[in-house]
Amino acid sequence: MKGMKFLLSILKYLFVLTIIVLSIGPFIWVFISSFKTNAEILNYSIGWPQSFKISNYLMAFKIAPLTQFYLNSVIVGIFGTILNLIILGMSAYVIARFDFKGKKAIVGICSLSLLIPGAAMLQPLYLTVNTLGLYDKLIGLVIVYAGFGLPASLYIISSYFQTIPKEMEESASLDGAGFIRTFVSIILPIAKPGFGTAAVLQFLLCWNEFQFAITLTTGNKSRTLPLALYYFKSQFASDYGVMFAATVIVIIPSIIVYMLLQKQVVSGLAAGAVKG
Amino acid sequence: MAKNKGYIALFLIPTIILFVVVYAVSIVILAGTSFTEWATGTKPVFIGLSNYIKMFTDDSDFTRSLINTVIWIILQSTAHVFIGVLFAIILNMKEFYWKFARTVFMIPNIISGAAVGMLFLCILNPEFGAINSIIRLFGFKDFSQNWFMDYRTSFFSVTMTWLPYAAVVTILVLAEIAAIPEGLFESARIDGASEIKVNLYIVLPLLRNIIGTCVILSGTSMLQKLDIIMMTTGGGPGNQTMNLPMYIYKTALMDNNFGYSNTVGTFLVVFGIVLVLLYRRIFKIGNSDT
Amino acid sequence: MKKPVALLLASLMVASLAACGTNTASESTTSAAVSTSTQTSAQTGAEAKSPVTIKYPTYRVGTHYSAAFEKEQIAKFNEKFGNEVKVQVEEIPSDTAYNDKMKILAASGDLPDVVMGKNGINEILIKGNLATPFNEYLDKDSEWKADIGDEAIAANTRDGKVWSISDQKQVIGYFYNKEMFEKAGIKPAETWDEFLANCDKLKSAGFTPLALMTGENAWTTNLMLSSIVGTSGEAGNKFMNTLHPASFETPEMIEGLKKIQIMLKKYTTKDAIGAVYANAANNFEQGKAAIIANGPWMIGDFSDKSKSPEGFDKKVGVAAYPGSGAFLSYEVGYMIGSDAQDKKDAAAKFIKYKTSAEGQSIALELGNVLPVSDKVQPSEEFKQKYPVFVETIDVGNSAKVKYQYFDTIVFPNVTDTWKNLYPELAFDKLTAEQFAKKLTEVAAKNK
Repeated sequence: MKGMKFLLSILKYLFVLTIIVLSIGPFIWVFISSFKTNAEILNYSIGWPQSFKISNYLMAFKIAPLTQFYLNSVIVGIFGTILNLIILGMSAYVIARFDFKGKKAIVGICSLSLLIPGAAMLQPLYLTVNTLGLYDKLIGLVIVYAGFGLPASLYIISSYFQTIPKEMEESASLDGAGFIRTFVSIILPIAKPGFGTAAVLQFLLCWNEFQFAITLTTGNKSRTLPLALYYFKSQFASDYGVMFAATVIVIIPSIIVYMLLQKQVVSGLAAGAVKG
Repeated sequence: MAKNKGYIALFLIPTIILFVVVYAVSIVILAGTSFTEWATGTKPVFIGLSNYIKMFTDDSDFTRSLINTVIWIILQSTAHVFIGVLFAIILNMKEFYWKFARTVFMIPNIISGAAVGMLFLCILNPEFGAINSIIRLFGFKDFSQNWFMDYRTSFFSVTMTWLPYAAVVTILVLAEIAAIPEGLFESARIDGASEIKVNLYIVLPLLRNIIGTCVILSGTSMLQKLDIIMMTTGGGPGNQTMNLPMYIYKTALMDNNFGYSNTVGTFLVVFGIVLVLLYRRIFKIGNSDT
Repeated sequence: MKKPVALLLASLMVASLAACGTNTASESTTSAAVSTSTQTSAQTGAEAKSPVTIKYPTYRVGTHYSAAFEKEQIAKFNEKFGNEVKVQVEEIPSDTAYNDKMKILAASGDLPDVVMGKNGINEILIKGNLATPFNEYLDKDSEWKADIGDEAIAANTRDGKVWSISDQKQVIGYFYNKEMFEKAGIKPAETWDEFLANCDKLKSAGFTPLALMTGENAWTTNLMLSSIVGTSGEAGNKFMNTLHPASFETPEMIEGLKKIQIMLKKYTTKDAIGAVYANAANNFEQGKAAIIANGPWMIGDFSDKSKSPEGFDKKVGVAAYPGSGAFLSYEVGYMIGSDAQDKKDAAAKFIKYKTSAEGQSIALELGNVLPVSDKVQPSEEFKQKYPVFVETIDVGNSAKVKYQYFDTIVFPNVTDTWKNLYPELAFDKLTAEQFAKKLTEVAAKNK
């Protein structure tokens, strides 16, 4: 029995280690390579650069309008997430808690949206966005991304609502709280972890999407960060160092933003645990 | 409950508006033009079921794409979810590394698909990529496996760009575990149950709903997987790593055949509906019995 | 009691409406021919006498080799004609994204005023009658016509209509590493058999002969294939000068593919299969391969220290392909996609500047691209700096056999297929015959 336990914990650490290496290894390699010259990357692909040159980074900022794109990505990410959470928090609540005519149909149709191939939506969405006068506007991207996150957020938030005991509302309703007050002051605070997780996923979706960002905008004033990466991989470009630097520049903020948001999620988790 | 009707409607309306704006037009165009011959820059012409007949009877690329898509869905809803859940349970033991591991695991999921594709393309480069360089360090001096383009390894390599990265599953499951009343654990431990038993008999059953959600999210994500494939193999060699989204993209934007592309797209939607219904049946989601 | 939610909804609506209101002044007034009821985007009509605004999307940004001259051309144009025409530049990094977006816009009837016609976009515009021919503009302007030259105009004329204005000529031989050639004791080959024998010699001297790549559009590999076919005699040469060949199952193609199969298996770098242009270029520039087939825009890289080792430019020679062959073709160039007459005129004006002698000269000096007109000659300073460029022009002039490359003659979906088929050829999953058959099938798929 003891040997078994030992073996299991060895396996456990092996598993954790593998996951960690697989997750961070590639990124570390790119990070180190981003300080190398082209020749160094090609000839000594593993190992340290001769010196940590930041010229690749300077070059990257010179080539693409990164600062503007950053700002736009932050705006789109934040508002796309807020809009998505408000809208889907509301519908997830009634879907998780009430029975009404057409509920199945609505849930069914919403899961349909998970299945529509992106390539098939490019042209129709362009038409819609243009008709609404939202072409080349950040608000257009915000709405579209809020929509893209519709199925995932609906699933996550409503399945979290389902874990909340019904008694919570019943007692609230006995206390005389109305529909809205029950939702806002009883349910929402408890459901924080659910919202936290949905928010992280939604934010990342907004942060990383490329194809629609380029189709639905035309000027640099409303373009987002993923597009910047493509400034470095034009058909006849060959500078790996700058390309890696650009990759790092695009990736680092998502990691930082995630770590910040993660705190929210963690506190949400704690709140969820306390409530039990 | 009748007095709540108005509220229910009000709470649903924003979602419905969002759905209509983002998806409804697409669905109508998608389904409608799947019965037409429609090339870029011309008007769609109705041709009945011809596209569908061609798709099912005379298109080996479609068949291959479908098979690959199905294989990836199966792998993703089993192996991928398994990795995620296992990792969540291990992290929940809150050992010294758990916060670090949880954050690190998320990194590949934070990065855009295009960047991940580019990353892997460089790491698996036969000439200077990290993997081959490391293998060479171990003494195989002439090792130069072309991971993405050799048909023996291409499918495996592409799969590895997403299969292990189940951080989303882990996060969802962790959140759910946190919501399990602490009392349950305590009483089990008092009864003398081992950690493994607690996890197997108490935690796992309570996770059924969320695992179901994860399976659906992970499985259906394979119906949309495009950017990494586009960046790494482009569906090749041949059509070894072609999936339905890649095929749809190619047909629409390379062959300029919007009509046929939308036929395959419509098929993908129907296929997805069947898939979701199947998942629901397996996990009995919707019968809220938690 | 419904108020709070209603308020929330209303404020959301207002927020989005407010956002619609701003910035509409810069929206185009274009509503293209095929557009149905979709063009309702608000218009403020603020452009009464002010300069005509035209939309110009470009992929020549970032690390693209043409980014420098593009910027300069637009700056100079604004300086000269800024009060008449306002160019609204849309940067679309990556050629693929550009192609995709143009197709989406074409399908929606919202084309920009100036469109680059390459990669089959010209076909879509011509077929859908979405472009304006240049005939009238050229007839009125003999100076511009002369700047472009008859050959370039003829290359883009269909049924008497000039659909696009070419902005550059492509003359492509191949670059080789003189040092490696010396050590292997060889000279640029005269025949393809000699070429392969040279590869053997390079290999036994310890060098990898060819910097091939099969990813993206398989550019450097396809230049070899086109050259083998193009120099194989009359039939092959005709094939390589035919627009949209329907069948690829010709003896010349099959013979060429067999040679490429040998090259991919024996004479190229380990990463060639699936490699992108960057891999091949770096392999050549870092001295890991002796030969690369590529155009003159690469010449700047040879003396760029971030790309090549110091002094590398002195080691590079340029040669015609065996059988005295070289690529000669005119880029598709710019098309007019606008609908309204004033926009068309403004677009034509912009295109005229970009393709005028002055525009061509900027492109030459800053981008190492060959001008379409012989009137435009490189400056002495430029010749000093890039002697290989001068050699390239000589190679182009002295080559006896001229042909085009695949990207200009085949449908875009064929261009997109190479990357899937070459690995199969290299790993013996396909024979040359099956390869050719697949190409024919793909070409037939095109709409």
